[in-house]
Amino acid sequence: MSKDRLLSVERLVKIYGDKPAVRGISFSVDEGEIFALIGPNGAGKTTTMRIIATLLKPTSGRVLVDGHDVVSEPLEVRRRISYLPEEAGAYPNMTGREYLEFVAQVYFEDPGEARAAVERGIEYAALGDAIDERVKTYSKGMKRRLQLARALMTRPRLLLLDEPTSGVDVVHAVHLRRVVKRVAREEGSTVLLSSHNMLEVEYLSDRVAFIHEGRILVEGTPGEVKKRYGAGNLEEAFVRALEEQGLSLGGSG
Amino acid sequence: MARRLKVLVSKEVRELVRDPKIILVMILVPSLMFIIMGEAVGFAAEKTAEEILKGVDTAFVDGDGGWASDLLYSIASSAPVSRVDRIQVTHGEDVADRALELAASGRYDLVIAVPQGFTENITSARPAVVLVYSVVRGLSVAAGAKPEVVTGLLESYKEHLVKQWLRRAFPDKDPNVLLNPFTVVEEAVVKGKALPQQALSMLMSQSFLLFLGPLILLSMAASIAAASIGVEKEEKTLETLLSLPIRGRDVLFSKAIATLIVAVIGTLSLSLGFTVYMRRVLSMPLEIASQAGATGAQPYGYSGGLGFSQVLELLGVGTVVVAVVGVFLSIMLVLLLSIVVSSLAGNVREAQALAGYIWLPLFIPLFAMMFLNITSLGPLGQAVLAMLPFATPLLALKAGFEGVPWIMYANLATNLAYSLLVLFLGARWFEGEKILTARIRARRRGLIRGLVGTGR
Ligand SMILES: Nc1ncnc2c1ncn2[C@@H]1O[C@H](COP(=O)(O)OP(=O)(O)OP(=O)(O)O)[C@@H](O)[C@H]1O
Ligand SMILES: [Mg+2]
Repeated sequence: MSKDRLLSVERLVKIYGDKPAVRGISFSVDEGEIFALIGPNGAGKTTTMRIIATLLKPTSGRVLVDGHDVVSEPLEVRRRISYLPEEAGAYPNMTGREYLEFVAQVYFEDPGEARAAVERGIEYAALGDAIDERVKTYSKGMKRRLQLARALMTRPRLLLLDEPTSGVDVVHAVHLRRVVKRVAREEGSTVLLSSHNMLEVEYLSDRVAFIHEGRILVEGTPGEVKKRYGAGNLEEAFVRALEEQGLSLGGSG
Repeated sequence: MARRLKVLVSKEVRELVRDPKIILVMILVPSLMFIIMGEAVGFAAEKTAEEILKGVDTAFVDGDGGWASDLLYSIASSAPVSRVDRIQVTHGEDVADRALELAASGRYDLVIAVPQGFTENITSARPAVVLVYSVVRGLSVAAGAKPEVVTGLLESYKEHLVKQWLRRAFPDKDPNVLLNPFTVVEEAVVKGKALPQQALSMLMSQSFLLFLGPLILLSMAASIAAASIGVEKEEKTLETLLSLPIRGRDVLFSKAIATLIVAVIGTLSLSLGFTVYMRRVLSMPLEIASQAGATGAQPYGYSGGLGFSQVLELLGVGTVVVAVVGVFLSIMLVLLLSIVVSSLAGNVREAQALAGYIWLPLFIPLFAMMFLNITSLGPLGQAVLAMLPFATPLLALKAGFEGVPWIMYANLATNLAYSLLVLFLGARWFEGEKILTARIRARRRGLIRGLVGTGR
């Protein structure tokens, strides 16, 4: 294992009851890299993310975050990550600022560091005066922006973003993507994201992996992947990858 | 880790106390309920007194016309609250018919009828009859108390007659003593201490509160515990929370501590309401007695109460301490159970349904306990009693009275063991992965269908 490999996923398998969701996935992400998981609904992206985030136990295989095993050292892993779940909310009776303060205090012992994190979070969320209103008054997109800001503000070693900008309007999505990129470039955070938005993936990712039915079909830089399928963009490449598997669209899930 | 736990607890408390429903359920309702209950009872009592003071309209149907009925009439009209119309009945007319007719007219609260020959019978010491018709206008205490004021006078009339005879038969004796050769001074002895019997009866009459109080308290606690975990599921915050640099069990601990804090506030509020209620109830009979006193009637015949210090002395400090500790232990057990069980729900409503049901079956045996004497149970019965969940406070009070303290300590120990067991299992549950995905779904009809493990 090379020193700058921040995340490594080795032959990961997850079976729910008797239903396989992930069937032997291996990939690794280097420090500072942005890696995207692309796949149809039910492909196993969220399951993979949840295992890396220590929330689910793998059926078999191994996941290391910064050298720490997600099963045997969950707390060490949690200290190094920030996870934005696919569906995530905030406490309805807190204000946006209070929510950020709460999370920052959990992460940082030093009040100064916590305060700085909150300031960053407020900037990332770009909610204006609404930051001091209760979360229950927020729209879906506003809640999502608060969540993404919450995940980004702690400057984790590894950012796990499950469909980060879903439900966010175009202008704010662009702003947030810039922030993600900045955090990765300037703070050196490593990012693993999943997305159904190919523009987002193309803009952000250093490398991508196509997942289908719990297996990785192809992995590489966006350029490599496009070239492999002779496609002009990732969307086309993705469709061709699935067709190559003998699959018509909509036949999975 | 202690610092993070503190951060979590303060977040939980803040989220709870900002929820208007929680404030309502936990803090306002418990005290208001008892205060309103006390006021309602007091209001009824005042109304009764008021009704009595308004006057009792009485018809005095006289078919006799002798000195004995004259005397009865004058006694009946001597009461300050009674207005008596005297109706003479001509010979041959039926006194009972006339009295009923008057009672039916709706003009009177009470009709007293003296049949023909009353004086003659009294004079010659033959059985005599007075007919009394009270008009019942409702099923309230006030409706019942009103005629009593006047009928009470009939008793003093009786006494008056008997004394007259006694004076004639034993001119050198005090008729009062003859009539009442000895006075009964009644006191209850509990564990060697004498207490006024009436005060004790009053206390016993409120003993349903020993069941009702905990019932309210525990359902409140279950409700806030359910809210605190239900909101995480409903707002989809649990997944994020569990991914923060904390242990899963810290989520359980922080929720248990936070809900305990809120539940203690609720308990204080309940105690406040309860105190106000008891004051009201204990003072009420005195009010009535004094207001109705002028008439000689005593609707409740109670005066005086038991002070807190007397109760404390009666039970013993040890018992009271065990009872109080038992209350908190019961709350803790309900909180832990509710948090763990309602983590199977998908939203606050489901959580509260689950938490509301889970502890009730465990609590119901306490109802039977109110009617049982511990000492009358066999060893098996006592062993069961010693293991009843939530029973410590009630058991302590009973054991304190009956002088079998071991059973309350045994129950305290078992309840502590239950709490620790739930804490241990709950901690494991919160560390596991099922907490995120397990869900018991409530059906449309509102029934709970068990489905653990594979929800999405
Ligand atoms: N808790 C669960 N219990 C049982 N099966 C599950 C559970 N969670 C996910 N699955 C199944 O595992 C498979 C992978 O699901 P997952 O959520 O990882 O997909 P995904 O790639 O994130 O899809 P999407 O794009 O829709 O978010 C699906 O077939 C899903 O039905
Ligand atoms: Mg998903």
